[in-house]
Amino acid sequence: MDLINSILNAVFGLVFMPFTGLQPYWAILCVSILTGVAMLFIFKATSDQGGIKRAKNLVKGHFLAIRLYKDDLGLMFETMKNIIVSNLLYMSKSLRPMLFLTIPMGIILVQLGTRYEYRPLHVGETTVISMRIEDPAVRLDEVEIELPDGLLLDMPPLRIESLRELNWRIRAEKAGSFELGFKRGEATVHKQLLVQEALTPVAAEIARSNIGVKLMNPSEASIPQAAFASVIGIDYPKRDLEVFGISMHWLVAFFVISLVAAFSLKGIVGVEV
Amino acid sequence: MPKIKIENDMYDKVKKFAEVAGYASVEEFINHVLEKELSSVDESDSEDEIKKRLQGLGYLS
Amino acid sequence: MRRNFCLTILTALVIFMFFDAQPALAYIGPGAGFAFLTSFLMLFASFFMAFVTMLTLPIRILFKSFKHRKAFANTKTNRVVILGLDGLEPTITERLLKEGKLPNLQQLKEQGAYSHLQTSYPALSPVAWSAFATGVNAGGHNIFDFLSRHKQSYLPELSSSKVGSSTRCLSLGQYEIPLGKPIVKFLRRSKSFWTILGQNGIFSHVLRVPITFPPEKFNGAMLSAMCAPDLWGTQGTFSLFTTDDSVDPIKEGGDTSIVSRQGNKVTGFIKGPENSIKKNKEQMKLPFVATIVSDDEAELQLGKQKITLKKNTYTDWVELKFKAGFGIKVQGIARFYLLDTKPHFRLYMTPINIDPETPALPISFPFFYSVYLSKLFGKYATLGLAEDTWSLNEGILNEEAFLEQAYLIHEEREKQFFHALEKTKRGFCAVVVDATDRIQHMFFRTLEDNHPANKGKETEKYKNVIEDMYIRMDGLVGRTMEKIGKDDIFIVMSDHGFKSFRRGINLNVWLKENGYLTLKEGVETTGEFFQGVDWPKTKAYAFGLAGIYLNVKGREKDGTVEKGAEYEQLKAELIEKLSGLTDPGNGDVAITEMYDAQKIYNGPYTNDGPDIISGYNEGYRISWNGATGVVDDVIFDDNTKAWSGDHCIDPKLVPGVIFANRKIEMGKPSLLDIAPTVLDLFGVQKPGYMRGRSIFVGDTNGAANVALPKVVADSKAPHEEVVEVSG
Repeated sequence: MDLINSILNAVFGLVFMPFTGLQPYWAILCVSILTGVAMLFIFKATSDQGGIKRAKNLVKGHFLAIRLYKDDLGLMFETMKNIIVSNLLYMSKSLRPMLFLTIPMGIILVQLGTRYEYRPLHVGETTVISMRIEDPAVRLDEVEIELPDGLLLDMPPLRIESLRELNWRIRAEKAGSFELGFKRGEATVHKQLLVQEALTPVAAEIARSNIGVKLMNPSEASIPQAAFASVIGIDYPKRDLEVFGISMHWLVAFFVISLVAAFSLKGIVGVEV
Repeated sequence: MPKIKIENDMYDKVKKFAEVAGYASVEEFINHVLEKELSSVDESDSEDEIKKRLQGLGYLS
Repeated sequence: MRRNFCLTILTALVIFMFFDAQPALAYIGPGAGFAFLTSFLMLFASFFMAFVTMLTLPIRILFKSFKHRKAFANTKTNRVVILGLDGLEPTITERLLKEGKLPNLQQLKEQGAYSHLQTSYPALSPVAWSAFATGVNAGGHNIFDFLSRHKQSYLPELSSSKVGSSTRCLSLGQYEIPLGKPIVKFLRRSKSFWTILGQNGIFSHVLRVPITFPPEKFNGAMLSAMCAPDLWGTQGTFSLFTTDDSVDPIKEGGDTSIVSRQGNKVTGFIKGPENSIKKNKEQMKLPFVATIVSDDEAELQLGKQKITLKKNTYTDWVELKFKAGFGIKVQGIARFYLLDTKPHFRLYMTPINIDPETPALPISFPFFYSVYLSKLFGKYATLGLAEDTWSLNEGILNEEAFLEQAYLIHEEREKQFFHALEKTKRGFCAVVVDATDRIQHMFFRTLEDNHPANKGKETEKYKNVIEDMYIRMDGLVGRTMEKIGKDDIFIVMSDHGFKSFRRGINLNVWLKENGYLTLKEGVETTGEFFQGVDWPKTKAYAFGLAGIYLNVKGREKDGTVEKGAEYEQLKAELIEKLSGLTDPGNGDVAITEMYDAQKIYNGPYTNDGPDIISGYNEGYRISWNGATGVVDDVIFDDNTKAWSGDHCIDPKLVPGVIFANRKIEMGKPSLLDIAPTVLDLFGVQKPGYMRGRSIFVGDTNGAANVALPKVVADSKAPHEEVVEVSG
């Protein structure tokens, strides 16, 4: 998993490189458009184009039947049934390309998410760092945090035994990429913490064995299998994305832009969706 | 479609005549009368245009 | 954990479904799950639309029920279904019935009735089906022939429709933008019975009944047929693309395009319609490249479309988009048929049909009905006379290719018919099949060993084509019968029969030789459409397929015949001289009877039609030259074209057939009786101008008939010979 992640990180690092220093929306704009176009090609290659066209025509045809037979209740119900059936047929035609699209789409979403869901801390901001320890042999008060220069512990650690969770509140004093250390006797685990303005991949969580967390946070290596901690998280602030002056969630921006891009280019690519 | 007004008594006469003459409606009758009146000024399309329109009609060569 | 993207993505999807409908509608978004978005939206939109429709339904029902209080109140039937088999000939039908080859028609006959059906004067589809639709003869519906003459120019016009461009235009440099829709006028008069049914709240499906272009507005759905034009505005012009530049251009009904070949690539262009928004009205063009892959295969590249051409195989319908400018496109459809790749590349293209999905002219009512059928069943032929008879006449397509084309079109028609039948839960449903007519026109020669058209053509091989077609139609009848309930009326009928066309007559030559028609000085043979006729010295002229007009003063531009005594005397003289005319070539009677139009027609348009209708004998028809108004020296000639059967002869010799699943009471049913019959079946009072009556037992409209003056001259006379002086 870490290997795949590191390869993907490198690839996406290249994609995002030209946008370093630019406003974050430039990158999402470009990636969304590229994604839209790429998906069109994949869709075209993996779907039964003729079948989709026929299925869509059927739906449209039955649609017209509503107008044609608007005075006949019986025919109206028959038409509704036809619409449902032809819609199911249409959906079934999308299954195959959907399967093919799932993997690349997931990768792109994760890579975008790691950059746009959260942003690094800014200087002067505080955040909460949490650690979950599932191993019952580990006592929570055995764990200590080691902060590099530039980070300050804001409050003493909070131990929640019922959740097997530890919380530290931290303040960023200067910009940089910091390595947090967590010590339990001789053993140490690490987690990266970023304090900067520029767009960069952010790992809000890392885990030892939780696949979901690993999938969603590709930009940092997982916790080693032998380590005492299960999950380490940083409560990074959510990123506010402004595209053309409108503030929106990155997913919305991504879907709208990729949708519009693909929609307007589908004629040129010559794909039936 | 423009509408034209006619006197009531004229309409009644027209209606009666249209029925007797075998028209399916008053409009049809009035249209036919006007067509006949205007036929002398009705211009024909060019011969080429006419030939083109009939081209392909199986019954004609 | 709260930081779960998956959930966010899913939520976003749902939000999108409701707020971002427009772009998503036509596009399944980029990614997993998104593939379903459009479906959801379509489903949502359709349910929404249905919901709105249903919300307003009570109001509409209330309104309609008030307006059509009596719809179906006196109905004697649930549905009336008419299957029209154009040109089905009684003698062939009866022979095959006897031989047990038409089991379904036999069953229908035993269950109900079989009879001859009196046809129209003349026995031509446009005239006959107009009589079917309106219940009146040509004097009442104004369709006397395929052609009508222009009284000022003596030039022919299509009798049933007139297409003109919009009168108001915006001039912009080389462009002339029309500011309105093209004017399409329907010239058939009177009122169709489905319009009357609609006014009484009864819904109809009327598919491909001839003379329905442009379609009428009525309470029902209609698909136009004869004489809907192709995209060029003609009645059907096919194209031949060939690299052989020594080939003679096609004479009739087709266009030859010489294309160039380099290596295995052939380049050329498809001619489109005139660019109506350009002042010079230049023809639009669509370039193509055909790559020859092997002796039997080529690939046709048309814009982005790539179409595989296989030798002797039809392609599916191919969309042809012609760009007029300003983003305006005119779209048509055509099928291709690869004839040869060597020694010459030869590619046939059907006439460019109006695309039913984006119709350039109105070809259905409501306008989206043609779109609807296309969405459900795919593209289909929309041309009035869709089967390309000229390509076979001209020897471009062979018999197999023509038959395949005719049946491909027929299959489209069948699908549409069965769909309409399924949608007709109550009401009227009609379809007319053309393949029967076209196949008999093109293969009738094979039924006779000595037919002049057999010379140089394969005959033996196609001897069973017509019989096979009858058997096939019997199958269609059978499949329809399966859908007919006990409360439904099912009628199978033809508008006229069919006979051999061995010899042609050019009546204009006879008129010239007998001093009724004069050519201008120095003219020996006229051009087409009477070019060179000296009208001020002409008393009568034969026009169209069966009519003779007198050159009447005050009616025709250069009229010479005075109305009244001179007119009557001349008419009587011509009828007498021509009736019984013999063919010096073989001594046979060529004309059985000439009919006085005043005696066979009644109705307000009687004076607009021909003055005399020709009744040719079996084996005869107007000659090819005669039909196009060429006056030369040949009165009688052999017909050597593949078009070897016809029906435009004495109507008494070519009655149609009628089968019904109910007893027919009437002795000599006529086409004119169909409209009153259907009206009666639905309990609708027949209008006074209709002369026919219901053919079935227990006609409630019948009583009204008694009061009508109806004098049948003698038992031999045609049914329409109903004498009444019109107003």
